[in-house]
Amino acid sequence: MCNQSVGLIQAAFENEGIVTVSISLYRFVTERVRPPRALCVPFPLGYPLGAPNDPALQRRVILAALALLTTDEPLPLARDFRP
Amino acid sequence: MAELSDASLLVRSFMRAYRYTVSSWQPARLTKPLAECNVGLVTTAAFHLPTQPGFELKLAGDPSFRVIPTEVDLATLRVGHVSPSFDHTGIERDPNLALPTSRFRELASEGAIGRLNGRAWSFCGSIAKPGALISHTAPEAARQARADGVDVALLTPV
Repeated sequence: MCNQSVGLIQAAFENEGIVTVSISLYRFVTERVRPPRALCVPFPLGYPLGAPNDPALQRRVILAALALLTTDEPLPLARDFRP
Repeated sequence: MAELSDASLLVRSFMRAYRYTVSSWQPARLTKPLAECNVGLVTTAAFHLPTQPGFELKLAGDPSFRVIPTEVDLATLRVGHVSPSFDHTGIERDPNLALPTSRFRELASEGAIGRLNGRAWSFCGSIAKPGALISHTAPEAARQARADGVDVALLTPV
């Protein structure tokens, strides 16, 4: 449910003119909800940025997500994160 | 990536039968470099301050949200998530895992982003009936973000 909720909140932010990107832990949910930009990560539920107390991994995920904000690719966009 | 086969049989059956809601949006476009952007954070990890009420344990879900000052000491946050379908220990050990205020302060100090917005928005993501989320609470949080001058937002589920 969390992945659907994120996509729906994301839509509200995008509609306010805010450029948004979300993390997805369930690609099949994101493909149904179709938010503007999503980074699909290979982590278990509860671990959207990879691992606790692992700033380097968290940072890599964040930078990969932020990169989707500036792409010119067609939307909606769901890209896989490759650690 | 979490796999459906990892979930319990009950959760799996629910997720297969559930009719997901397609989001409705108009694309926003960046008009300035990230290095000049105010970044907003949104999570559905159900974080709340000790002084804020928790989230309600309703089957349909609690569409309300809590405003979290991003200067808060993350160790003081409580996790009000009701879902048994994920491991809570990671976000309890390090809330940056879902609300990465420390990472974004680092990125701001390096000049990779302009700044981290002063408040973040925390929902409890277990919302099976998202009507009020779509019609009221998500737009309300989004309006707050716009009023803050948020340019871009990162959203994290758990």
